Amino acid sequence: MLSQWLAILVTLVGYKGATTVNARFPRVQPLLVAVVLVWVIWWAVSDDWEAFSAGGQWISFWLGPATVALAVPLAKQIRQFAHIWRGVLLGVSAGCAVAIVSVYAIHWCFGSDDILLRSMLSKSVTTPIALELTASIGGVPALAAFFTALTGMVGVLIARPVLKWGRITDDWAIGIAVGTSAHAIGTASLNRISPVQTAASSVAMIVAGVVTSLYLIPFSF
Amino acid sequence: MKMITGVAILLAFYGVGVLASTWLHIPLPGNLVGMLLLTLGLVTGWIRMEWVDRASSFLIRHMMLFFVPIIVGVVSYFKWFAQAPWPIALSMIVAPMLVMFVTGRVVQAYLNRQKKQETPASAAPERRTLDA
Repeated sequence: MLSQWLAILVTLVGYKGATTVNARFPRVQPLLVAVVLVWVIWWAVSDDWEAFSAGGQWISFWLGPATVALAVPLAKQIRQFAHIWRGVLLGVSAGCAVAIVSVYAIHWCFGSDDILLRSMLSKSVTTPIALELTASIGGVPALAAFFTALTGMVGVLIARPVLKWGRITDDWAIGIAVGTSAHAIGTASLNRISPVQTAASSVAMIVAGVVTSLYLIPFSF
Repeated sequence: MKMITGVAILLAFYGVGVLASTWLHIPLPGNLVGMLLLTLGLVTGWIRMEWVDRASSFLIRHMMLFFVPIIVGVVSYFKWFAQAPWPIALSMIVAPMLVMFVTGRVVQAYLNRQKKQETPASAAPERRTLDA
């Protein structure tokens, strides 16, 4: 019980530290800093990772209501979405196809393990969907959770140069692009920049989840 | 007080979303079902924006915190990198770049085209005066 409280405390301290660093150096990815800080502190004080996840659940539970909360920016932008939904569907469908084909092609070139490939195919989708999809196509859900989290963090790190290089400047295009490739972690990172991007990214997360489930149907046999 | 009401509403929608997704076998996770239901509630005016506005921006602002325990919990899987370093590293870096680029390009191109189609219609009267 005490160790669970300690895990919550360490997570909060790490997060606070990361936001402080981020306020000073805005280019540094706060999530990455928080994860490293928390990992190092916990490794130093306890190293009992089962106790850590037992305590961490009290914090990660709030991801549920926080995702529901994305309905607020979404509802505020719903008129604009109704105006451009065709473009959104087109973009997300193209992006999800690229996600699957590129991962498949890379693994085909290296001739790597089939289970590894199947644990990676849904990594651009939000975690709860990725876990179920991975199980249904014969991958390892825990491994998929890792790849999904890592993809989200990489997505946030590469966003600035990729968007600049692609001359992607419209708030909707940015939000949809980040939401499709980096799911909720990407969505979370957009909040400080623009509510329109947050709304667009939430839409992309839902649409990408549905589209990817449809694309992966052939893999479930 | 507004904060507590807002969080309670968000929790309620989350709970309903989770129950609906398991009972009705909706192929979306409970949190996304809850998000869709709340969007519907807000758009129809059944839920007032000011009830949930403050609580939702608070939770969204700190959304990153809620990911920290999950990611720290899977850090041990880094050892998988040793199994197949190249395919994993490439899939982790190249794939998200391509996905972001293609998705963004398609939406941006669609929006640019839409803007172009809308401007000539509004610019038409100007052109007429030029012709005359």
